Amino acid sequence: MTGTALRMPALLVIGFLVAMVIAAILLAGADPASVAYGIIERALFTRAGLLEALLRAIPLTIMGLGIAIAFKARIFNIGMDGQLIAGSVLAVVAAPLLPGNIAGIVFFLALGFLGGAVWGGIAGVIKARFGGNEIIATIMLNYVAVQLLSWLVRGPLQEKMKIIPRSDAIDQALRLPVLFDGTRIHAGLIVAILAVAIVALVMLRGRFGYRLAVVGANDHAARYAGISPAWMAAAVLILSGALAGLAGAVEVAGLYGRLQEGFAPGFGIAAIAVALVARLNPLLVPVSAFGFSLLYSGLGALARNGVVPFPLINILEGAIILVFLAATVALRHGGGQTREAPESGARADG
Amino acid sequence: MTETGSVPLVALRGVTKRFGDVVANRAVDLEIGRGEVIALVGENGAGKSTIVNMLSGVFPPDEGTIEIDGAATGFTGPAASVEAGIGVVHQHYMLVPTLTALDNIALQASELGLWKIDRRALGDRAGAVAEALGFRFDRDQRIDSLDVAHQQRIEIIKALIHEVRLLVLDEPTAVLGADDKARLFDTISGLKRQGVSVVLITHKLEDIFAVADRAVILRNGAVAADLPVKDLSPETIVTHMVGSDAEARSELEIQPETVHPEHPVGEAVCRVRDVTLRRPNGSVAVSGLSLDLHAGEIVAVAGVDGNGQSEFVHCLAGLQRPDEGEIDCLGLNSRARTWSPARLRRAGVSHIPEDRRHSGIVAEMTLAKNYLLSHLDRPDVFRLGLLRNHHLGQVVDGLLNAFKVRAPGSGALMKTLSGGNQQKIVLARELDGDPKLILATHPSRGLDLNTIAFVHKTLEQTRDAGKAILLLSSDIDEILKIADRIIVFAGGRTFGPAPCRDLTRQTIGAWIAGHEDIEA
Amino acid sequence: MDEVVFLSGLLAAGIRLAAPIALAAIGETLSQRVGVINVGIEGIMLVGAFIAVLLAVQSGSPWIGLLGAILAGIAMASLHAYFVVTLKTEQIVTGIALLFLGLGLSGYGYRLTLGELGAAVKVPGFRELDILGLADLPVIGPILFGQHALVYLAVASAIAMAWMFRATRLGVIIKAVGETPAAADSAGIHVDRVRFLCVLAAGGFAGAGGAFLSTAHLWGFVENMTAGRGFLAIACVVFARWNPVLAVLVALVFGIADAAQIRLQSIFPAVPYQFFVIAPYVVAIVSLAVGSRSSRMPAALGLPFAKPR
Repeated sequence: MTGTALRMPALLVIGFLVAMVIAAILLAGADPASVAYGIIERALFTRAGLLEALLRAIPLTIMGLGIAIAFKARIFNIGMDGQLIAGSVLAVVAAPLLPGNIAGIVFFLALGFLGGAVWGGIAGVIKARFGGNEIIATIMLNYVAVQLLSWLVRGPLQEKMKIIPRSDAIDQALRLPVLFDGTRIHAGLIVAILAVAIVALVMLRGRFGYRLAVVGANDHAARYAGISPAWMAAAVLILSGALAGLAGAVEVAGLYGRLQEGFAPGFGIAAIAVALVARLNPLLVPVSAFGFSLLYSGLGALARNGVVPFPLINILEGAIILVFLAATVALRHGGGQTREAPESGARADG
Repeated sequence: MTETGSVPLVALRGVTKRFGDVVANRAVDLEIGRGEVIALVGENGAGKSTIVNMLSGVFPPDEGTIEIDGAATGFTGPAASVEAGIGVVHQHYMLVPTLTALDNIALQASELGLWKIDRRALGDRAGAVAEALGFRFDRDQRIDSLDVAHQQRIEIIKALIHEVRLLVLDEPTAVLGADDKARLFDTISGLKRQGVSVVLITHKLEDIFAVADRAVILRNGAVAADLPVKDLSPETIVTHMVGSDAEARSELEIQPETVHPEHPVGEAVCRVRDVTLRRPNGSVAVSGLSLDLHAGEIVAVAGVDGNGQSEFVHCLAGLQRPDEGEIDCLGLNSRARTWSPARLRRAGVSHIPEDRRHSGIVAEMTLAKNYLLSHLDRPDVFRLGLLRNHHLGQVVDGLLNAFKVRAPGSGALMKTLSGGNQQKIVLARELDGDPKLILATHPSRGLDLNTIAFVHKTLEQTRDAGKAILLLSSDIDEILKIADRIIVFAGGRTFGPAPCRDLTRQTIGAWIAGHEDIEA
Repeated sequence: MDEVVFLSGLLAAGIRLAAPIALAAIGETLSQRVGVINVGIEGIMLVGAFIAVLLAVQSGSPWIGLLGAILAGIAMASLHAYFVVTLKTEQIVTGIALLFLGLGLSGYGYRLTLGELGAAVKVPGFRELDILGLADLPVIGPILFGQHALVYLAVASAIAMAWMFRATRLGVIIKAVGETPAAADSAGIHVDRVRFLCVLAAGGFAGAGGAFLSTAHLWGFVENMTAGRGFLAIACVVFARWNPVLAVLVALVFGIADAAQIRLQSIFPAVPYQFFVIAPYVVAIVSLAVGSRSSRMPAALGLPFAKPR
């Protein structure tokens, strides 16, 4: 079947998904049009909403880049939440040793990068060395990281007062400075922009980016060309984990100033939606991240006012990914795909 | 053979099939009589496979009808074709490698329903079919433990498990050795005696003369000739296949035994010593393999597919290591940690993979990016670690010209090119950049005659420029045409290496079949 | 004797904890055998868990709840099947979308219905059976005769599925479709139809797994209550080499690890409880490292089938 033959079925399911979202809003006793308007109004036309979105877009951009790298190589890293925790924990643990100046900040972020790399690297080793499925590995590591954080903020890292399960605040000098007075927009914005630039150069113009694209498109051809898919899998998991860890360190240094449970909730899977909608293009990731952040800030306000329950956001994320997938099918021109089942498995020369 | 006046078993009347803008079959008329053996001949892309697919119900014709016993039929799918008594053995066997022979047959036998399989009854049924054909049939053998010839026999049993009146064999001889080929022809003759019609799709002239009653020659999707075999000669068949294009034909001149001029042979670039190779399922494919590859020669590796040739090339490419023995190649040793595709490529080994689509190209990428696959270390296409897209495009455009690739430019996506042009790009890519040893596996398989001639000429020029070439081929004509020496893998051992000019077709055929030699 | 009681209690609880994972794993085995991986079963389980509670409360019968959960699971899976089989989209990405949807639909639905009523809702859940009155037998009683009906159904369906793969032509078809779809197609089998139906059935199993969680194991729904069990189920399938009976046994290992961590917490109060909570996940990670190398997955797993043109 060619792409065009699937156009109608694809459009049909897009219609179904839109209807489903509208039905969900109606079931909550809300008016879909006013919900949509409410989201847009809050997110785009209020200062608070815009700033909130920009703030959230910082970690989502950095993590979305990590997902773009991994998914481009067809390595499905679902473990960014765990890698984010690992990065921020390492950074906070080592924070007392860091100098209280700009170099300290750089070290702090680098430690976050490193921590995430280690956590991603565990899945990388399991994948590269033992052939273990990275989806399962990264998800299991998420649960482990969440529990370890829970222990740390109640045990060894708990604040001196021993009341609230959280760590002591890091040195004020290690905090990312606020860029614009009167807002909470911090220097993490610069980190995110730099990350976009570097990742875009690496993915679109670098040898490494080329290798990961080949591995993702045809791992047999990669092997024949001397690119080791196993090595690439490990490298990609380390790198995308590192970006998640960096995002964690940015969140700690930019917003919270300390470790606590449940910060950056669900960012790891939100980043997947971000990267998929950006079509894994690093230059589009910040746009997509900002778009999703607007949705969060707009919908969050509506949810707080009791208009619709907040989990609508997850329904929207799921529906948006599916609509994108269906739209890709609908827009595909004729031509076939390369990734399909083997024509025959029974050739002895296979 | 058709008795005039009687209704043909199967007839195609004015059948046309298009794929997008491409016309695969154009107003094809074809009658198949009872008990008749028809050879369907033509170049790649002449429309043979499309006819097979329509006969087996994979897709319907756009125009025209298929008649069975004189009545027009519209196949709704493969099942309807089976019901009509048409059995097909596809070129790529339709077998599930992880299932047993019997379960593969059960897959086809829809009359068994969905529930419990009576394996004893089915085994007896299949055994009876096998016996009638003179095959030995081990029902519990897994398909992936069989060589291609045995797999083909399972395919034929599978097709004949139902009442079959027409058996279609798509390129059945392409992968067979001389012995197995002779046995297949016996089987075909046996079927003919039982009144079964056979359509034999082939591009080998010898097959036509061996078994066929009538030859139908396709060119550009249309029937170019439909004549009794006794009225045909090899020359007339070739003329019908390629048309009157004199230039095309001149490149196809059939050269029975080429005279090999002496080449100055250089030093050994690769030494293979006492190597044993195993198949993926652990059985020994070949043992005691020793061979030197020298600069300035083409050494052919031949044999029935599945006898270790692929594993051998994979070893030389660094994709695997010998199970026993060792290989020294351009300063690298197969026992060392450094034996990897990347290191061997850097040392000067280039590799034209046997399955282009599977491992030779990235279909979704541009031609330029596909070139990069083997030239990521080329210093001039990167500056400060960043790809110089424009420069790379110029380099690749130059190669496209040199190799006469029909493509809009280096920015085109690989998947938009025809198979022959894709193969030319792989060839161009692997020969560029001064390789020392070229592993050319089935470099001409699946290509049309003109492209094959081009590939052969290019390989010969490369050899004359002082490169070592390992040619893996199952085509004796190709080997005799361009190779200097040959080694044959058969039944776990090797024959040769020996200079091609000292050998006859018959000797090579005997070796491939696993015999020492036949007295001439 | 205390040790024996402890162990039998551990095993019985382990079975209870394993059951939802096992049910989902049985379904996922079927799905992967035909070549479709569904990483969204976590989302399907959540929807199943929510629907089971909702319908049980409204009808007063957990069986109605179970039926609803199975149907909801099939409905969710039909979306997956429509995308990956009909539209031939990337299976992993589609599964991730399904995870979002399941998370959202269950949480959203819960907040609109039962969540409004707070903890006051009484959920009519499943009770353990007492087969032939033998559940009170020491040691083996609670293990063999005192489980939930769904546990027995899970074991029975795993055995039935294993038999189907071995002995029936349907099993041959399923294996062929997941291994070499082109061969199945040329044998006249509708590859996409087989895949679609098996994915639906897998959704039903995942829905039942969710129902077990919210109407048998616990009596009530909590947002995101599956806590990774859907993913553990996928891990089970891989460790069990796509064998449904082995998948149930692997699920049992996870269940026992889970039951053990709860007990160990009370035995070793000095050790932070989090270290016990991570036990099943660590077991999964270690077995992933140890058990993956030699496994051979269905050759066409994750790959769409395009009919030859």
